[in-house]
Amino acid sequence: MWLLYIGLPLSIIIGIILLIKYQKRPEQIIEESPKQKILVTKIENNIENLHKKFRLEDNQVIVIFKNDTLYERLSDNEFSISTFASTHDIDTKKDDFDSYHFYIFNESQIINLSINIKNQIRMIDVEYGFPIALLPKAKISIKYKDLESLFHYFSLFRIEYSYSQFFIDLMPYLNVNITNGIIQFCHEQKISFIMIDYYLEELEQYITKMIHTEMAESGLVVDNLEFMEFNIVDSSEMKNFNQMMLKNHKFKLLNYTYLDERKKQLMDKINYKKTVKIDEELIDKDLAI
Amino acid sequence: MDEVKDNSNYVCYEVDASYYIEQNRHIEVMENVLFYENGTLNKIFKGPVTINLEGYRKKGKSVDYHEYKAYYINNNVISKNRVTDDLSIKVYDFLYKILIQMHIKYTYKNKIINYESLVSLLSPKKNIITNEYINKITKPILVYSIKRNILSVVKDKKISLLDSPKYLSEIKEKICIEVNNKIQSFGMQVELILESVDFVDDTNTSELNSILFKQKEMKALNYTYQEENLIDYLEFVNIEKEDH
Repeated sequence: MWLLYIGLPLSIIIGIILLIKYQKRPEQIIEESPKQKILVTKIENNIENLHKKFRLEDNQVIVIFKNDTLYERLSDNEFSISTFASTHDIDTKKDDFDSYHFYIFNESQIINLSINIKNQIRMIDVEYGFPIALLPKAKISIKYKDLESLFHYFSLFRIEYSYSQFFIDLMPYLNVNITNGIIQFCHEQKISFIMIDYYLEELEQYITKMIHTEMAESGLVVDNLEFMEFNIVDSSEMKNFNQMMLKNHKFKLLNYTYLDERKKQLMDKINYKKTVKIDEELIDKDLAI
Repeated sequence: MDEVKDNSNYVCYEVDASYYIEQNRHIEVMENVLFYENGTLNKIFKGPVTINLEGYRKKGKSVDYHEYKAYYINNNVISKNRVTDDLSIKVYDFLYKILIQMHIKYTYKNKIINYESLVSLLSPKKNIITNEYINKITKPILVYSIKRNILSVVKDKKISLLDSPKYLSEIKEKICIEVNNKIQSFGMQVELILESVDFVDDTNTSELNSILFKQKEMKALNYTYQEENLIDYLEFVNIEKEDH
């Protein structure tokens, strides 16, 4: 009898423990979020990751694509594929589930981009027709506004896409646009490159508009562009140009011609020779005395 | 309990709210304390004043200090800070299209106009705002604006850069408006004095100056280059004649 009193509750307790054990989900592993230098990390849609929990840092988001179309953007602190599937009534066992792709997107990295651009450009001057080397230094602020376009444009659908890779992809694009913008602006407005310092505001507006149009498909927008410096690289051409300009102003301001100048030079030459001759004669006379 | 830090270079930093709640504290002229309750600005104390937060002590026997934040702002530090600096610009002259190098000497002083905006600059990474930090914000904007506005006035008036010193007050006004618009979001303002604009006496500038001087001389004495040449020639012929 006493066996019944002890055995029955014991078997019930064991039964409950076994029930809990079998009902419990596979062990949940909390994954640390990707490092800040990584812009996008793909969470592979496989059994191994199905019940994992991914802990997200501030400004990191989960981006979900279905058949290359943005399905959802989640900014929860934790994410697991199974929870997502259950809340959206998606059967993870069906083949259709393979069309879902999950990415951890480090949004904070590109929310406000401030990029310094320094790029030497050599081109024929619009007004004077000789080569000029320019060294513009610009600061460009970029914001992202469209996640789906951003993923498609920069092909972010990768296992890992670093922040530095993003810069490698973005910089040539910005450099080309800025260079073309400067050339086009000067050609359209008929402004010499040497005078560009006086038109920086107009140039900034022009290039901002130009990049904005060019970037329409990229999901990025230019918030601000400022040319901090616009140096002209010192060269022999520039020295000759400066001398030519000085001479030009001399003729204009003093109202005389090249012919007048040559006449004066010739007279000065004769005068000099004569002075030297007189001096020599005087020396000879002195010696004779 | 934190004591108010005695550092001559600290402009703004967070102080333990309990320091002001537990006892009445006195702050001197130009010292300020901003008191926040649950993230909202509750009171601004401007020195000289004795800060009385007795009401908060009476709210309960144990005050939950997590609800309160206090920020100390020392205007003395910033008002003493007058910076004099030089800016060198190498740019083609608007009128004569000749490369000219100019030096601009300027003095500026930062001024706090909005304490709340200044406090919002504080973050876990940047928990103390110093004079150097404020200069790091204002100086690049100032430098950028000085160059832009000198060139803008020169362009608008269609004059030579060499004539720009005549318009210093106009240039200064433009710079102040532009800079203050940009830094007002930081709760700051600058007072600027454009002390001088000098030109580096290199070959280009000195030659241009001598041409301009000659032009003025010719105008004042009412003669032409050709007339001057003719006189030179006549003098030459005369000397030759005398010699023979």
